[in-house]
Amino acid sequence: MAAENFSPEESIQLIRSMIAKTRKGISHQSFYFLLWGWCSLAACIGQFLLKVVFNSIYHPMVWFINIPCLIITFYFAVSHEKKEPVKTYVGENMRYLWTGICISYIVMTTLFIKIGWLNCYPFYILLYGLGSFVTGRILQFKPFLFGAVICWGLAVTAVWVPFDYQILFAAAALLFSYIIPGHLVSKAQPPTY
Amino acid sequence: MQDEQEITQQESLAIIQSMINKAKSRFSENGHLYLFWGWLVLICNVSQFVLLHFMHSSRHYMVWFVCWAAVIYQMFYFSKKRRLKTVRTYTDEIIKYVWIVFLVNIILVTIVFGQVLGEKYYLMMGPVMFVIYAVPTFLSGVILRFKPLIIGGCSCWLIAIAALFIEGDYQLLLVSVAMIFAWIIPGYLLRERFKKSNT
Repeated sequence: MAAENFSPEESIQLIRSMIAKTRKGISHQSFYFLLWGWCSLAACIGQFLLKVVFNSIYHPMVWFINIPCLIITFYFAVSHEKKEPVKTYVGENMRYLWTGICISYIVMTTLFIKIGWLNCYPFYILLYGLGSFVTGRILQFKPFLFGAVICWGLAVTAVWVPFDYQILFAAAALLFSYIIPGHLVSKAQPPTY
Repeated sequence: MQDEQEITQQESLAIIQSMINKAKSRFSENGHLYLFWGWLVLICNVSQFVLLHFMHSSRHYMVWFVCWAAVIYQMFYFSKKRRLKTVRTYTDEIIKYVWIVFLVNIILVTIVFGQVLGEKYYLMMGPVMFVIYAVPTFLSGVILRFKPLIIGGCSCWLIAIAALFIEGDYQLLLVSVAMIFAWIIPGYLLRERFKKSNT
């Protein structure tokens, strides 16, 4: 692309259309945050109730909810790619960010299977914060940044409470880093020209 | 969120300028910090292993205090770079924040481990640290479209799993292996690419 071929007006029009496209992309991203945010929050509360209130040994089973979530995510990602085959730089970065975070969750889970689940939640909360903060910077959307900072505070505080209540810390982290920013970003409408 | 109507003509032109720089492939990452931190962490790690395994020193962790001096050096390095560089790209910004998050995570993980495991923190720290190393390395590779960093990030995930099967002090040495794949080799390759694109 030769810079000399653009007049200032054309360049501004180009950049505005790119911003519009990016913002449209942002609204689309909210689906994943809300899906994973609400399902994981339900799993946290479910685990807390099963473990603390009903004293069930099957409390970790609630996390199998991740399997349908993965299938739905994969299905929507593929169908969205078919509908909008043109890839944006922002969209690509988001895709790889969350691929990286997803791999990290899997590796972290493998580690905890081996070393034990006690105190696993502070580390998961740190990962929630990591994904949320980088998303906030990529999308230039502050609620994700605030969510990340809250996650970091919750992660450090969680190590001082028993495992049962660490589950509730994870629920709070999901609320601030995925669910609230996810709802806010869904309202970010693309501009009309 | 900033509305597109609020973007002034000057701001729009600044964004265009940053994109033109990107389109011109003016590659600004020279790999210096990857090499600096890669070698520093490797040397600290090997020193800690020697102190712990051979000398049975209880103060083996003290070698890491040198990182504070390294952080001060990095702050000077960044401020010098900022003065010399007139236009910052979107890529520069994102990568900067990816590494800020990394730094925050390293500090928090250290606090969490210290609280949870007490004096034996270093025996379990490795696998989780590798996951923390992997994410920003992988992301930097993706954002810079630079495969050696992507491979470096993936290597850290694999080393995290491998660490589970290596017991005791020897697990510590995996940090050095991770540094070689994640930061040192990509650092040298970045330096080569930088030299080629700026000659």
